[in-house]
Amino acid sequence: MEELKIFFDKFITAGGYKTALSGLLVTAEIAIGGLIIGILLGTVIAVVKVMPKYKALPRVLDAICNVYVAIFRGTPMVVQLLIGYFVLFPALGIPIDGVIVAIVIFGLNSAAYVSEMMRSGIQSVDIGQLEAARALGMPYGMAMLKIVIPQSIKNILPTLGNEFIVLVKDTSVVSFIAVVDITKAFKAIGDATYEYIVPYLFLALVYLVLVMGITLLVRLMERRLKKSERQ
Amino acid sequence: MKKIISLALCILMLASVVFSIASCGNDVAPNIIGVQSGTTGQYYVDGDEDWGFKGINGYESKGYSNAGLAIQDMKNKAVKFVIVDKAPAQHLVNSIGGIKIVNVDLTKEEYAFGVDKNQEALRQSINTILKNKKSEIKAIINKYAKGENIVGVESAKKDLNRQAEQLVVATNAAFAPFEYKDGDKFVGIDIEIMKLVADELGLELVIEDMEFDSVVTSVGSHGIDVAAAGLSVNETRKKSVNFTTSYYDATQVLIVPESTTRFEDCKTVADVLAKLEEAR
Repeated sequence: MEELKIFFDKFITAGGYKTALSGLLVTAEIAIGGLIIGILLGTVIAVVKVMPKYKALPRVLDAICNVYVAIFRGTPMVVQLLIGYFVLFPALGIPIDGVIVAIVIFGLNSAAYVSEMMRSGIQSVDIGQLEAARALGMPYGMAMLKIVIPQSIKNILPTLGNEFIVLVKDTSVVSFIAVVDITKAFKAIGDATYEYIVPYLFLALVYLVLVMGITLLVRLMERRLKKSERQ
Repeated sequence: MKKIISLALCILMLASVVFSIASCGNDVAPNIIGVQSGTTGQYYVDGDEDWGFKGINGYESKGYSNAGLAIQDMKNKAVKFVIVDKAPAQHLVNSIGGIKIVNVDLTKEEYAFGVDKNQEALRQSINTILKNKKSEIKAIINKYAKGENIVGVESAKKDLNRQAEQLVVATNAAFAPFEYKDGDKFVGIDIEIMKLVADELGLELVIEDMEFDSVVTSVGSHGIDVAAAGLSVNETRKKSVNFTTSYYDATQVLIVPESTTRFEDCKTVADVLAKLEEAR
């Protein structure tokens, strides 16, 4: 009980909740921003990968995408963040906020994973769909964008939800580049009192509520996309 | 046949679980000393040429992101002892029960601020302030020893384009009483000294809170001017930053569980090392 009192003293009386709220916002920004970049870039990579490879250009693009995916899947997130923040962006000479770096790096990292999900999604759509679209005179890009990808998204929605959940929880590494997220905010309370158990329990609770919210959201979207299906 | 095999497997697993739980209770902690990652204590346990430490014979270190977690693990018997800087150790003993400090200074080191190598003028002016404001700094240190009249410092928002007149300080606010957070404000000896420096120079104070491992590396990038994180002066860090004159004499101490009586007669470092050898 003494621990609870210490925690609430720091959290409410001393104003720790303000840091926690802004940390929650930062976590949300990074996860949502990362997911959006991830889905956009991941879709581009997936389309490149499933493109017919008769000509030279698709082959070169495919090779580039393979290298990209290998690099971003093959190195840990923390290392990518540290390199991005301390080496790459300073080398470009742009003054930049840590949160932006985190969104970019999380987006690039997520794109590598989403591209593979997207590829399996595209391949799960019957080839006849693409052939029919092409037969109707649609260019390849349009057929992909309007016919194949919407159907594939429906198929991979649960895995995309998974990716979002992973992103939300992975954001806890951003304190390495001086960004204060929800984990760092609760850790700071523990650091001030050297009493960690209660802050960490509450942190776990916050994440749990967040992830349950996301799960609910994904389920609602799934139900909505199911409307077109035959029962 | 399948049923019998699966039943046997189940029993085996159950037995191993019961056995591991039962053996947990009287388990003796391994020969590991808990430290805060990347701090002097870690080099002291493992030995390091740059610091001139020989290491502690027969022990290895285990790095935690802060000393509080190391203490928690000592109570869980995952590490035998903990070595941390003396001032945080006192803060720990005051806030967590069941532990005590072995009153022998294991090392002699000096805390100083690490300044960006390209800002020699800033380093000179911090040195001047450290020299002229000795009594104020002493008052700050005493204040935290007693834990009285502590006022939080708010960090200004960092101007990324470096147009504003700001002093940007990197720290790891997990090192009470030198730097920690009180709600949404920063407190601690380093923080208040930096506030004093910023006020003297007519600059706005910006505090960037990050992992201890990132603090020294970050100086000189992203507009960070100074590292203030209870940094002990040493050769390795001198490669990344230029140190100011020191403002605090620090030392490492051993923290042991309250029930440990082995170290009671220790007077010198040699005594402590001998008793550590015995405790293996």
